[in-house]
Amino acid sequence: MICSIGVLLPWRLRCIYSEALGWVAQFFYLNYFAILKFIVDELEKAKLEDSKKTDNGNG
Amino acid sequence: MDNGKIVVLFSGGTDSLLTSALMAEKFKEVYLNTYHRFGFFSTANSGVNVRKLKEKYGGTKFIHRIIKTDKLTKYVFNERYLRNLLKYGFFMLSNCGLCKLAMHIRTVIFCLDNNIANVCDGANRNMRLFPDQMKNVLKELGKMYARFGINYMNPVFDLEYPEGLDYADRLHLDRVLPAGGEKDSPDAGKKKRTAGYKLCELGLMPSENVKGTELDRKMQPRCFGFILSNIFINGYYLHDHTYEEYEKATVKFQKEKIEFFIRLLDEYAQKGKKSRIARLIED
Repeated sequence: MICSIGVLLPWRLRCIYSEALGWVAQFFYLNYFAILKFIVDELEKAKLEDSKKTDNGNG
Repeated sequence: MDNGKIVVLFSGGTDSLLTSALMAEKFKEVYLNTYHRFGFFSTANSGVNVRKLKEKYGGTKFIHRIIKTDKLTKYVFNERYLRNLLKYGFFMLSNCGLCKLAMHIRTVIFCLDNNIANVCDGANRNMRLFPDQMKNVLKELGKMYARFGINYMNPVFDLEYPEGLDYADRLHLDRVLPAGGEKDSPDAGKKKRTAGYKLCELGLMPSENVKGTELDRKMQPRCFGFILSNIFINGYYLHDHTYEEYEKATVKFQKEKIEFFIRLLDEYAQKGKKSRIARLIED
């Protein structure tokens, strides 16, 4: 569907269409990346806390 | 016609920057041609690395130009549109290949006007989904240049692509993944064969891996023209076809386009400003 519209548009409108699609893709990419980064940061924190507890338990 | 001059299709990115640096060591005058059309943004960014080149190799060696290619690119896209659409379907969305073809056509004209016999660009085999970086398309482009007595080269074609560009690397997933798994050890030899590494060695880049970074974005134009063809290729075509089939179809399409424009360039070589293609040239 997205490609069918693209192929029928005249050149200038196709450039604008690509630009708009580019920003939409960028929006999803940045959100996806930010969410993944948040999850990995939280996992790292939990891992550190876990290892601290284990160290205290052993000590 | 070999008079110590060469044209580099210069975007300002790492590949074309390294190409320019390598050519500066072999040629007296290096013309850095950056092309601009509707849909390109921040084209002036390419000037950032021209300054670095001038500092290293001398100010008189490089001549940087930003050349408009609106009319020509539009014509490359639109010529025999309905016929091509019926024959090649969604391959008509191959924006990057057609846009780059317009740049090459403009480069041939530039060389004919300025008596230059050498051209090169930063094409690299690792960008294999882009038509303009496929070996067989480059061969066809080479034939087009050769017809007009121009030698076309791709000096960084066989260089490696830098590692560390995927999600796992950017998120540093090794922070949370269990240790001890079989992890590919970074190949030191491979690392030394990237454009970034060589630029860092030459003192033209602050680090070995700048691809995809903020600095990379600030030194070259931006364009989202690839989105449509990426959706078609990755979202549709490659689900039912192999890469080889994709390459074969792309080469066929590009070859036909190139052959069409060779005829127009022949006319330009004979009639100059009175030819049909001359009307599409913007200064």
